[in-house]
Amino acid sequence: MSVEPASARRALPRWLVLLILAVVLLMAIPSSLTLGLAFRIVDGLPTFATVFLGIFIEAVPYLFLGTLASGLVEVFLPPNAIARFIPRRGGLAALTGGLLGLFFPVCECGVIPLTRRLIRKGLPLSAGVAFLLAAPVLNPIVILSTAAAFGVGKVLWLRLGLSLLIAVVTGLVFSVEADPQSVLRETHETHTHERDHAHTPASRAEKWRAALLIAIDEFFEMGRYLVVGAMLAALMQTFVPQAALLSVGQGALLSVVVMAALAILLSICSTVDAFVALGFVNTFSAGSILTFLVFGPMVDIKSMLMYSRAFRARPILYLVLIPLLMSLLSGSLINLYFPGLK
Amino acid sequence: MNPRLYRYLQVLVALGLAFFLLDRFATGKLLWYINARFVVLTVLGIVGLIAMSANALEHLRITRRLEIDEGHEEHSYFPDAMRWNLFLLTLPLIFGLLIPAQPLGVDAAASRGGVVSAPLASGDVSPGSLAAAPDERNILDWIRIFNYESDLTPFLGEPANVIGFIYRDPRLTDGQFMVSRFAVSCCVADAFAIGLIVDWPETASLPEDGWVDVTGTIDTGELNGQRVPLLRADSVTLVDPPAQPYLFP
Repeated sequence: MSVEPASARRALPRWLVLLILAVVLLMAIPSSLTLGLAFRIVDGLPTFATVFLGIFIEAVPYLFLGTLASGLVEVFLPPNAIARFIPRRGGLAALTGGLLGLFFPVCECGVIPLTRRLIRKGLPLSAGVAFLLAAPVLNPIVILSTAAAFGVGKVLWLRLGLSLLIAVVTGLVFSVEADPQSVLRETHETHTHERDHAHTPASRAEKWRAALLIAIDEFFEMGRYLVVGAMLAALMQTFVPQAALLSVGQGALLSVVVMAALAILLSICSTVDAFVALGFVNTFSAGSILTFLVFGPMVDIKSMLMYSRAFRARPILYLVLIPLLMSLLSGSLINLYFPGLK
Repeated sequence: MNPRLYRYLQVLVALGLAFFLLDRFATGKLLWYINARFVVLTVLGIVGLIAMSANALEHLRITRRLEIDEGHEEHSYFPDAMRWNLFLLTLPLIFGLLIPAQPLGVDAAASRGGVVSAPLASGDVSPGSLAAAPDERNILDWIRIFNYESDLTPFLGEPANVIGFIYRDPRLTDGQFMVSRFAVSCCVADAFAIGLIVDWPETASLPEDGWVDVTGTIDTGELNGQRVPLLRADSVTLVDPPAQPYLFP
C-alpha cells in the first residue's frame, strides 16, 4: 500500500497529546520543585513502575476481548445484518446504541475498537457514539459492581440513567453528520487486511484465523495508546500529591469539577470504579460522586488517547466536551437541589 | 517497514508480553499489581496473546507458501508510524524487567494522601468480617466494623492480631503509629492505604519503614478531639513483608 497521505497524518490530534502533557507538567512541577526533582523521580520510580504495570496488566485481557470481538464482528457479521436490526436515524438509533452495551459487556478499553468496527460495518453514527459512551456503564458487569458498592438505590439508577441520557444526547448531536466514515481516522489496517484476505475466508477455521489476525493488529494499534495513557496516569499518581485535590471535597460546584478531573487523571477501569468512588463518599458531595461515576467511564487519559487513534480531531472534541459539560451540569444540579442523596 | 518483518517483530513482542505476564503469574507477583479475582482474566490475556501470536506465525507460513507458489513478492510496506506500536508495547517489558518489582509501600501511602479509615462497601458489614474470630480479622475487617457498627462497645476489649506496614501519621502522638495495608479493588491504580491506630509506648524504637505483627486489644482513644477506635498493643514484632502485600475488598 502507499504511504499514508499527508492530510491524514495532519489529522492526528497532536495538540490533544500536547495539551495533556502540558497540564500534567504544570501540575507536577510546583510540587516537584519544592521536594527536589531528582530525588523524587528516583524514589518514585518503583511506585511509578508498579502503578503503570498495574493499569497495563489489568487492561490487557479487556483489550484482547475488545479487539477479538472487533475481529469476529468483521469476519462473521454479514454486511447487512446491522442495517436490518438497528433503526437508521435519530433518537431511536441513539437509544438502541446506548442499550447495545447490555449485550456486549465491554469496558472503556475494549469498546473503542469494537465501536469503530461497528461503524465501518454500517452502524448509524448516532448509535455508534451512544454505544461508545454508554456501553462502559450500561453493561451487566458494571451494573453488578455498582450495585455491590452502593446497593440497589438512587446512586445506581442515577448512574445508569444519566449515562444513557448523556450518551443518547451526544449520539443525537452526531446524527447530523451525513457520512459516518468521515469521523473515523483513515487507517492502514483496513487496506492491509483487504490485501491479506483478497480471497474471502471461506471455512470456519479460516474465518477465525482472519479474526485473530485483525485482533493482533488492533491490539498493537490500540495498545500503544493504552501504554501512553497508563504511563501518564501513573506519573500523576506517583508525583502529584492527591491531598490538595481532596481538600475541596464539599463545595457544591468545585467538588464536581474536582471529581471530574480525578476521573480523567486516575483512569480507572469502569468495571470497578464504583468501589473507588465509595472511598470518596465521606469526603465528597453526592453530585460529585455521580459525576465521577458517569463521566469517568466516558473520558479519561487512556480512553482519550485511544479515541485519537480511532477518530478525527473534531469528533473527539465533541466526544469529550459534551459528556463533560453534561455531567458537570447534572452533578452540580444534584448538589444544589438534592444534596442529601446518599 | 517490510510487512513480514513487522509481523515477526509483532509476534516477538506479543510473546514477550505473554511470558512476562506468565512469569509474574508463576512467581505470585501478579498480586502486587492486581486484585486476586482478576488473575483469571490475566490468564485469559496470556492465552489470547499466545493464540494471536501462533495465528500470526501460521499466517506468515501460509502467505510465504502462496508467494512461492504464485511467484509474486509483497511490494507493500507498513508506514513508519507503526514502528511506534512495536516500541511502545515493549515499554511494559522494559519497565517490568529493568526496574525491580516492588509492591506499593509507605512512600506511595504518603503521596496518596496518607492512610485513611474509609468505608469499602456500603450497607452492612460484610458477613465475613464479623464471622471471623476477633484475632483472625485483618485490618480491612476491623475498618469495616468500625465504620458500620453503630455501637462499638461490644468490640472493646476484643483481642486483635494484625500485620501491616508502619506508617507515621503526623496527627498521632508520640506513642502511636498506624499499622497499614493497601486495599486494592481492581489494580494498584485504585489502591488506597487503610490503617489502624496502634498505641504502643515503644513506638520510637521502631524503624521508619517496615512490616510489623501487632497483638493487642481493641480500645478507644482521642484523635483531633474525636473518639476513635484504636489497637492497644501488647507486643509489636518486626516481620518480613507477606507474599500478598495488599488486602482485597
